[in-house]
Amino acid sequence: MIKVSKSVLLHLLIKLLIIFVLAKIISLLSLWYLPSDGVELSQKTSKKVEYRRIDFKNMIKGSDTQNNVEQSTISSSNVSITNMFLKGLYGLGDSGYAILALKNTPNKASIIAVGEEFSSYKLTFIKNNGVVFTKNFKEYVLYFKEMKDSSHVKRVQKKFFEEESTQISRTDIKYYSKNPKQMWKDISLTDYKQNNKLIGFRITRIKKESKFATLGLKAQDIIISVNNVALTSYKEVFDIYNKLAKLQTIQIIVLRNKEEKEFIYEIN
Amino acid sequence: MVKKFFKSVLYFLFFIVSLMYLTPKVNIYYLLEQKLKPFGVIVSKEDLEDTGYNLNIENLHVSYKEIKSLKISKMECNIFAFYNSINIKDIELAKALSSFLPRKIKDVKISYSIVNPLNIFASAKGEFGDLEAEFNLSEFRLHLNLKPSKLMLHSYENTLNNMKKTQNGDYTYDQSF
Repeated sequence: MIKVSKSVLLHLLIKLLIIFVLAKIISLLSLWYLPSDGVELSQKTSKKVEYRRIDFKNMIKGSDTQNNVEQSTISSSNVSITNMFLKGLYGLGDSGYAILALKNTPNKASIIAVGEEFSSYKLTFIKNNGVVFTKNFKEYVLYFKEMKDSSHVKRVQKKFFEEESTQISRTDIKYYSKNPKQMWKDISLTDYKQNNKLIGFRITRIKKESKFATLGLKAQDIIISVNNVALTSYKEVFDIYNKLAKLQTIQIIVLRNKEEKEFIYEIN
Repeated sequence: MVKKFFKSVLYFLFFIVSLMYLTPKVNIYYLLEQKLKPFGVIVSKEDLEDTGYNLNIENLHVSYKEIKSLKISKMECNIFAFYNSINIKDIELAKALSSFLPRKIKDVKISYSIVNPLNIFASAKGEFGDLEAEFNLSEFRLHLNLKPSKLMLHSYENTLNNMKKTQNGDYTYDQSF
């Protein structure tokens, strides 16, 4: 009778078991060097409030009737434009609102939308620092009082569209979204880093005949923020890119000659 | 003597097979994630399962430089030392990338074999068509060959313009690193 301890099979099994245990020891030892946790995406959330243009129409909807009454009263009084002063502005171009008051009743302000009348002066356009009225086919510009202290009313006979274009067509945005190659032909951007940290994107070139050339931006401008979101990573850029279709306004802050300059564009 | 040699080879093979089975694949995957992090690639929210010779990963969210780039529903890594493969199913690209490529990729297969140790092969099928790729490890050169779909031909001309058109209607792309 052959002894069990001398069985070839048992001998083989013991050898294989030793090899298996050895493999297990190596795999256990490797755990000392291998990480026990993976990497998860931790997204920093900006504490800054995103730039938004407020639709003032909704805010004043409830008091529409009151305003209409007030407006008709003022309209009927037929006040001269020199007796008005501008308290506030919402919007730009041919959409928005102006807050107006009369000098003799400064606390009684009225909110007038573009196209509406105030003392028979029709509000036709909102500028960055004032509003344009028309009356009897003549145009009048009313500035903020502190900006044009003594003569804050200026009669304008000619066109008032001398300001830089601040309108962007949604069709253009769609066009560039679908043709990114064309976009990079028209504008070139490069990372702008300080202390190896991305702080914005430098415009290296703008094609003269392109849409970008009409936006007021210049080569060497450094775009540091869009809609109040600092461009400190590619993520912010892509987030804005994803939201483009829904945006009504784009606010861009650039560094030009070490000074910050703000651009606001209305999307039509 | 020959018998002894074959015995040693068999023992060695058993050792390798045991080692592959016992290797902590999940931890190796974590190591790979850490190695990818400096390049801006982060895979998150995934579910991992070590099934011995396979590592199954589901529900992967891949981001590049914090930009959510793609979602993968299932990835299977097969490690057999002599032949290794990664099968990826149902990839959905982020919206932001939809202007460059169709968003749905049905499956991707990446394989590496010691029979051809200097090349990694990959093939992919999706809304863009059929793609075959080869990465040469000695020259660090990537070669792509795309048979574009009708959708790709009609709606993604700009992407195709970055590739070379061949006589049989395929598109190729070569890049050295």
